[in-house]
Amino acid sequence: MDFLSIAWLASIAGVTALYWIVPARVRPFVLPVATAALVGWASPLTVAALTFSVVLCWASYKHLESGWAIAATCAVQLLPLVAWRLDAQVPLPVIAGSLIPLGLAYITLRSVHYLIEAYKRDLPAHRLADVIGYFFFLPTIVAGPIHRFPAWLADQRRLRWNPELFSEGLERILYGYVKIAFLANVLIETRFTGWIHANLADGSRGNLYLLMIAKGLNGYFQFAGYSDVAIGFARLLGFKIIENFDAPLIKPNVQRFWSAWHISLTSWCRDYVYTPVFSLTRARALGIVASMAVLGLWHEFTPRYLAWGLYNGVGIVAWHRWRRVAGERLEDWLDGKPLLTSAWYVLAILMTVHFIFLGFVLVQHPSLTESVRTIGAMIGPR
Amino acid sequence: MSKLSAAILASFSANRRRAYLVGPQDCTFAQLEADVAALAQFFALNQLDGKRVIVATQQDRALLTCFCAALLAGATAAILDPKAPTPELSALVNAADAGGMIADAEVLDRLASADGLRQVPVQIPVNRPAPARGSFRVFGDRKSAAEANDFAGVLAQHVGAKLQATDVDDEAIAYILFTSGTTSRPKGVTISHRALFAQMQTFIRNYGLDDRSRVMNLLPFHHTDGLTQGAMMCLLAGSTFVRPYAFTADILPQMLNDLYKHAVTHLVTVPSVLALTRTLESSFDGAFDYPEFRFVVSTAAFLEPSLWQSCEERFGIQVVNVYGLTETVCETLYSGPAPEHRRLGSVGKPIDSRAKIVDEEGRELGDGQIGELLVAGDHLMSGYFNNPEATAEVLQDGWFRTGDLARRDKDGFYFITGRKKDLIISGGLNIYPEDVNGVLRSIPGVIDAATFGLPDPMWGERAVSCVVCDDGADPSEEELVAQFLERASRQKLPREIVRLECFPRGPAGKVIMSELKRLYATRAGRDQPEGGDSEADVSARLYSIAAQVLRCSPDHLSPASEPDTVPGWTSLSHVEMMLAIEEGFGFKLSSRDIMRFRSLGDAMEIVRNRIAA
Repeated sequence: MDFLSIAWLASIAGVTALYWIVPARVRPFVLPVATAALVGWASPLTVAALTFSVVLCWASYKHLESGWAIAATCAVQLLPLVAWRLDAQVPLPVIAGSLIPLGLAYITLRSVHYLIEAYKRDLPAHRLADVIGYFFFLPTIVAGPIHRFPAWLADQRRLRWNPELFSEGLERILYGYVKIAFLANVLIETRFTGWIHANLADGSRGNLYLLMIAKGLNGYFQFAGYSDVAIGFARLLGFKIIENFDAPLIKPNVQRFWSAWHISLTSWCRDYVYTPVFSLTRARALGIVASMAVLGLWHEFTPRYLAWGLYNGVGIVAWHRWRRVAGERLEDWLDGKPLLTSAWYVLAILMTVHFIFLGFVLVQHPSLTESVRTIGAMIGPR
Repeated sequence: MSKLSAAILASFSANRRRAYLVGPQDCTFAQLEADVAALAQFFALNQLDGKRVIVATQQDRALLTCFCAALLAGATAAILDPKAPTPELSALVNAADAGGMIADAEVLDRLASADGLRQVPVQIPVNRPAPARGSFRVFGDRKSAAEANDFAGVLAQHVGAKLQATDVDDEAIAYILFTSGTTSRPKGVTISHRALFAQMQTFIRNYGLDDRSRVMNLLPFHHTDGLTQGAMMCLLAGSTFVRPYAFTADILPQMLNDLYKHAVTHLVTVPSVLALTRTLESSFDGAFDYPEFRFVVSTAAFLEPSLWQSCEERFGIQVVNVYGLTETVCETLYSGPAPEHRRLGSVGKPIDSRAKIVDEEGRELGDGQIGELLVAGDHLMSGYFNNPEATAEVLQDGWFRTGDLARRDKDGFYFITGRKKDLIISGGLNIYPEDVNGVLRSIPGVIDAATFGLPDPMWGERAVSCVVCDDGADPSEEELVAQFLERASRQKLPREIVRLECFPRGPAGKVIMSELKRLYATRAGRDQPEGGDSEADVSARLYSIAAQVLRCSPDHLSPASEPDTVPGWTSLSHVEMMLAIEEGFGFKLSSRDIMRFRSLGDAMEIVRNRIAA
């Protein structure tokens, strides 16, 4: 199920039309059925994974009380994702290289979110049909965002035909495809990268540096585009789901960057990794590093993603330290000097973007050693 | 023809195809118009013009049909609570001295068996509509309905009648609402066509109502807030009236979800409903976040400034606080929506009316001085029904004595500071201590009763009754409650009934209320806790901790404060605050506590639970 395909566009159009044509009382059932049919056609295993999460969540919501039971359920929920992630590195007997269910990483995090909120008793009263509707929600299955249950339920209950929201949805889908197809694929992937290869010798500093920039920008526009399409599709169906990006490339520090990049994932890590780790240890830095490590490993169980997560975690901790030692004093000194403040702000943005893009190089090559070698060739001594 | 009748006819003809009522029995203006025409014809044939018609039904569409038909036929509608107990209803039916009554079949049965209907010549029962097969047949099949001797039958028999208004003048009485009285002498407020029309004009202009407005109001129709500040103003403005169900506390989440669902533009409600929203989780924060929504109108009771502010901040809305009484049709002072009329904590300024503050001798007082609030204008009642003495007490030289104490600041804003009258307002409902005492005294074994109001965080005030019983009688509180509910409606039931040996009395034999309250506090174990962990103390300490960490004034904090709404509340200060709370209150927060903590309201709840444990 490729987002950039006629089949996906046709699915969006078909499901949306069917959804609004049927009588209102049938509407909540149309979407799960359409999702099961479309997703099941592309990957039957995904329907199994979704069903697994629905059963686990509903049973826990209805019957589990203790923290230990919920923790055990979370562990069970994590098993499939862990198994497939491991299998990608070291083949496991049962899975043995079979294709991972579509969006399993997202499904798993949604489910863990639901389980923990159920433990906190923070979920509004709801029925099994709501849980099914939440998981079998077509717009976010393939590429997120990791939207939250209470917000989804509120939208489901407020649902009405709203022409403004519908037109916003169309607009977002258009923006999304422009980001993916034009900005990322044509301008950056083809033109800019082509220009780099044509004009700068492979392996030269300039070549490596500009490739880093190109890959960073490409990654952003691709992913933000996918999120736009998902958010837009959800709006066509009357749902306002969580935003995933908030102009992350113009943030003046790493902390702000990570509050603006893949927001649904970083806020998940904040709520379900950082906060528990902090509450157990009262160690803030440990909480940050643990969150970022989980964020890295969520993508892949490899040394390079672990390194990438730790790199960013340490970056955030370092930024906090720096701020306490000198940053606040610098801000005080800059106060009342508009020109210098602006200059510092621009410099801060450039430093942040470079720190982040350098991090992306860590996961560019299949092996971490190779990635480190690339960085060395770019900025190290020759 | 009165201006009101003309305006109703004009609105019907201008808005035929628009939706009027959204509820269990939806209808367009044209559908309501057809029903009203039929019923008005029935009223005319039965010579009910100039007479009173009692209406007591839980079916909104039937009630509104009756109300409009009575107005246009020149009859006076007397709206009663269909859920009131039989003795209370009987007394009101007697007092109304009506020519006709349209009520739920169940209500008529109850009254007939209590012999309370002998003086009402025309009685029409409203039966529950048959489950509609198509969405258009709200009142069932007209042909078979015409056979029936009920409300639907009456409409069916007069189907196709042309709508016309009887020629009444502006001083004709449009309706009566009973504001007090159980079994003794009920007080009925009579409102003329002139007063109702004046009030409607003010509402429409001040709230900016037009044919695109969609007003949600779930308040009961036997109160003016539901009837005039809901159904009638929508009818005259061509607006849609959204009323899918009656309000109960458990419907609140659905109500908030339905705001967006029905694209509601104005929500009319009472402070205790706003207070209840505090119990809802953050997924409701966006309930009002859509472009069509304009503002909330808070009516019927005092709106705490802190509640007012926290609602506005949490939901990103404007709350318009209004003040009025059944005797002023509905409202007379408005704090908003116009910025020049709005001041937090005040009831704003009079609109289309005049107000003044007077001392005990009736001399007008200056700015800043506290005295009784008097209001004047076209929207005043004509008087209490059949009660010239009571009318003369409150209506003098065109001014109405509200019985509320108020002051005016130098900018002309009015602030309610207390009450002169013996009245308890609990959750927006008026409770007269004398009514409650009368009911209690009628219970066998109860010798005397005294009732007073105490401040209540949720309901504004709560009624507490003290009773003295016969030596031999030993009724439990449960028995007293059960007996009470047989005699009067639940809304009059005091929150607590406490038994005392005797009442403290002054030289003239009058109960000394201050002494009684002290006795109650001792008896019920409600002495103020000394220092330590009182409710107010906990929140004050929490605010001061939060203000220190966030480097802001505690005045800027409310239970709704959270990282998104307070500028200094970063992830770092969030951590600092948790540590400061642990230190300040001397306990360690659990993981669950820390994960739940997102706003100051959460923190308050967590700390309270920990202290309670």
